[in-house]
Amino acid sequence: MRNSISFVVALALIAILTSCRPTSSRTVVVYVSEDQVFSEPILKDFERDTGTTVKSVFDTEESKSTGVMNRLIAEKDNAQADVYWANEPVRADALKQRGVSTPYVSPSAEGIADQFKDPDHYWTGFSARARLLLVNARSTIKPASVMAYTGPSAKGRAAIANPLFGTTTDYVAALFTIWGDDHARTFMNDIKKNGVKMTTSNGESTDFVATGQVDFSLVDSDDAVNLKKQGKPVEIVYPDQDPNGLGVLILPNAVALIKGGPHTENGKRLIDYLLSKETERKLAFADCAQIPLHSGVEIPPEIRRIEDIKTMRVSYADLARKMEEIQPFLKEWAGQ
Amino acid sequence: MGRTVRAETIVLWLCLAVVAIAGLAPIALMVFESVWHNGHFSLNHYRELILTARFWPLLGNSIRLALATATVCGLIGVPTGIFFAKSDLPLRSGFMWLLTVPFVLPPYFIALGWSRVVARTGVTTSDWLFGFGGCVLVLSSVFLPIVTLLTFASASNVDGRLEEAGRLASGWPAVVRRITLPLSAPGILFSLVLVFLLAIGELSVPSFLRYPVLPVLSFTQFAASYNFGAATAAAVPLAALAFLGVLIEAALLQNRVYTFRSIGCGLVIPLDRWKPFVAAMLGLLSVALVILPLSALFADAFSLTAMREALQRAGASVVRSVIYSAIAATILMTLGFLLGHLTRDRGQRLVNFLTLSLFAIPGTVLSIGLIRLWNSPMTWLIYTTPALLMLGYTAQYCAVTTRLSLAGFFLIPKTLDEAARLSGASWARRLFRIFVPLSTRTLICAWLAAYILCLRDVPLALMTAPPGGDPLPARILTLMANGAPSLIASLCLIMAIASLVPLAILARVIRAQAIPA
Amino acid sequence: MNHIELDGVSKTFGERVVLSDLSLKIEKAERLVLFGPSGSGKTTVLRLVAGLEVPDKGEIRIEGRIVANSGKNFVPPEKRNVGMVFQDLALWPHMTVQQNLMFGLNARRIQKREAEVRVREMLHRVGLEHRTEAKPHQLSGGEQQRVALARALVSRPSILLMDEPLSSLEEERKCAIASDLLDLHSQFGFTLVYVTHDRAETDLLASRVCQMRDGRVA
Repeated sequence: MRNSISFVVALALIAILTSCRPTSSRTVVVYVSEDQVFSEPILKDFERDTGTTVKSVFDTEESKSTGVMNRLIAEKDNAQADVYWANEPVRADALKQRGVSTPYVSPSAEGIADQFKDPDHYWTGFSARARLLLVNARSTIKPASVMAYTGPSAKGRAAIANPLFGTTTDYVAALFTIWGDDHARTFMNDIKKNGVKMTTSNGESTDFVATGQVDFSLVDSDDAVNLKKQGKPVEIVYPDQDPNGLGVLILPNAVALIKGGPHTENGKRLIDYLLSKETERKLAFADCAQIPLHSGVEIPPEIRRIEDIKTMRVSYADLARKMEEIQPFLKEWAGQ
Repeated sequence: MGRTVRAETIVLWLCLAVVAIAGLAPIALMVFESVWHNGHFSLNHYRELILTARFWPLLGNSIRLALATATVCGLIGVPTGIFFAKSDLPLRSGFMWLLTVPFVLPPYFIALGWSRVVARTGVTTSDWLFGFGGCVLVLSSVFLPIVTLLTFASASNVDGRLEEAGRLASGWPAVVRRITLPLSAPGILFSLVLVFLLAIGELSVPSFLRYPVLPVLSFTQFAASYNFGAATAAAVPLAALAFLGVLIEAALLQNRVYTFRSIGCGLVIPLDRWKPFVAAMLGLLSVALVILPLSALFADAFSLTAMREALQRAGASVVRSVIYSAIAATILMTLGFLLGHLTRDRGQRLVNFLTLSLFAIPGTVLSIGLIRLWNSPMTWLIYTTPALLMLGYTAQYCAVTTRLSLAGFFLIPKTLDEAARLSGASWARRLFRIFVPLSTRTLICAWLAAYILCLRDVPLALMTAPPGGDPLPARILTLMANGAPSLIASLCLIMAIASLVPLAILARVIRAQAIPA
Repeated sequence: MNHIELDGVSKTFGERVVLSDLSLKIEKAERLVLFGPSGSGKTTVLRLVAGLEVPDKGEIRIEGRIVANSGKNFVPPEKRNVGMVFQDLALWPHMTVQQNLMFGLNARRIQKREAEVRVREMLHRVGLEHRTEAKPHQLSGGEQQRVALARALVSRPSILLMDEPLSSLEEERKCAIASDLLDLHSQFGFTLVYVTHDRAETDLLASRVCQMRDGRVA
């Protein structure tokens, strides 16, 4: 029977195709949580410089920072990616906890402070955002600390993005880690009592400050720098810089090697590339204006060197745990 | 003599197998996993879902949004459809195609357009857009063409002699009310059910406009925590609503078939001195729903640098989108044609029900199921290639090509097939020598419709495309995070061109069909 | 031996009983006219013989072979070698006259050269040898009729079924085609089953008339 022969042939073909999966030696698969607008040019440069094809999956605004991370978790037993480029260490740490990533010490990581690396080398931080205060230039309040949120002059004149999402969650979790739960809880309740305006995103917070609807807000450094570049009447304040101060929360990008990925060697090469000074320089001059973590990298005038900032002393692994822990409190706080 | 299995039976089962593998298997697996917990039956996910404080408000929001959208579409779409079909309004086909534009674009385009309008007019408090009102506005613009076009088709389909008989006894308003509308009712109701289903499953618009609905919860459960069980549990109420809608549709259309054929020339509504008024109303509608948001969206696109960057950033995605959609359209056209052909005498209701259910299932839900089903080392060939996306497109849109094919088959007299059988022709020979040549237009229409639907699809593109293989609507969404407005505008313009060219061809094909041979 | 036998055949469509317990024997080369008002079931008899319908009950035999037996042993129409002229003629609109005739011969895998000869001969017999390249819609009503007849006969069936094919023609044309049909019948010797409600056609064509009423032979 001709039919049955072709059936057997088809079955054999399927069997062959499923058993030996071709792994092209000139390909690397990377899942990216950093904004595509900023990350893709870097990946393109890598393609051009090394001749390796980069296949990437990007997050959208909605699934921001968690979509591809969770895809990585779901694919744990069938790893498709070689590298994860996280937009903050917390995500990379989550992968470590779940055994999705594998340690890798990149030669390029030398010169980056240990504070921004996983102690077991499961991920390495680079180019960072900072949580800063954006202040309207015409405002009479000149806050120098986040404590300004609770001051009487800030009553109804300050904004903060919904702490359930994005980098605001990191910030609040950092407060909980450093101050302890009770203190941080009191602080959060105080700023609520002081009539803080909760916005949907950091982007909206910056708009509020620029248009004078509020006097100041905690925002991400990239949004702040962009607004300043556009000539909007805003000032950027690095809060809590006194010697005993809380410091600025630094949120670096983080890159991790995936366990059992299809092209691990190329993955390592990509990580070396991402952690290089050159990549940090590019990301500093891009619209995201990220702060390099290597010293001696050329930077645009709008941003500060990492060594000139008093940073918050916080372990990102602790931060990750705390973020999960305070979810119920944050939901209640945000009224959701 | 022994019974032999006939070729058409084998092909029918193959087609059904494709539908089952592409659509039913992932859905079934999801439902199974949502009640199967660590080796035993458990309704925990559902219990948790219902206990979530957000569930009931979200479900309420979803239903409210869908009802409001269907109502607005009905109030505007039915009269315009009737005018397009039955009046002597000048330029009516122009208006009709113009109003169709939002439907062939990814739904979030209109939302993005309105946000640009808001940004340009300098309204900083954009409460009216970001919320229920904005969602209804955008979704109504997007889904209005469904009601308008189906009303148009059903009303054109009413036997002209009946209307002429009515016209002898009374004026046109009475004829429309007492004859045209009741006879077009099944088509109109079907269109409203469709709008309801599509609106309730819509993800990108409510999430962009920050109106909390159930699909967003389901997507977040999935995207934010890959919690399949919880995501499914959140999706099941949607699937149930979809199912209910399809049941209603089936009940409405019992014993009715669409034949897009009109006998006699029928009613012509003489607009006379109302002509300028009606034209102005339609013009206003087109400006408000289509021209204003889209021109605001595209306004930033007309800069050389933005266009160049867009092409650099998304050139490959454009090509991919076109190729994926073309392949999917070919599969869908073939599948729909075969399914329609094989079920035109028997089993039609079952196939309609099946495919329509898959059409009504939100794309996010289908995607989750597909990923769950195929994400294993054994099936990398499907999981890591565009095959997964093709499966999704096939499941989601085979209803459209099947229905179009069926409508086409009803135009072919049965005796043509019977004569061929008596001439000794096998099924395959009849299919290729009689039905395919006689269905050229049906096939072209089905292909173009499938192409447009696949091209504009967002959830499947976003969730099931392979690494480095994202189609344009997905790429625009990912680039939207902090991308410059001019870049996004240029990308949207490219996308619009890719969709509107086939739409224009479709309009031409349909117009050619309207002229009797 | 009888050429066609219907034995206790019943057929219902939904609720409507179209044929009930009908038995009919048709001899070889007979010209049987099924005569009766519309709805009397005569078209259904043709369609059952052609294999386009399956009987609910009863048995149909052609040349002694069972072709339908309560739906169990069923020979599909493409394997019965029966010619039929439909009421609407059912000419394939996308094919030329030549292609309409060639279709059945190709389907039966008759060699191309032989098929062409047969088509030419048949078109000559019905007086259409000059219209081979025309499409059906370019032909007059009478010409279409002849094409349908030629197409039904070109594969030399032993049975020709005709379903009111002349009803739409004027009286004069009817006579001309009827006499052509009689000529063809005497040449090929097929068994003709002809359905009509027209008395004149019956008189012209019948060697035997079978009156039908309410699904039975009256």
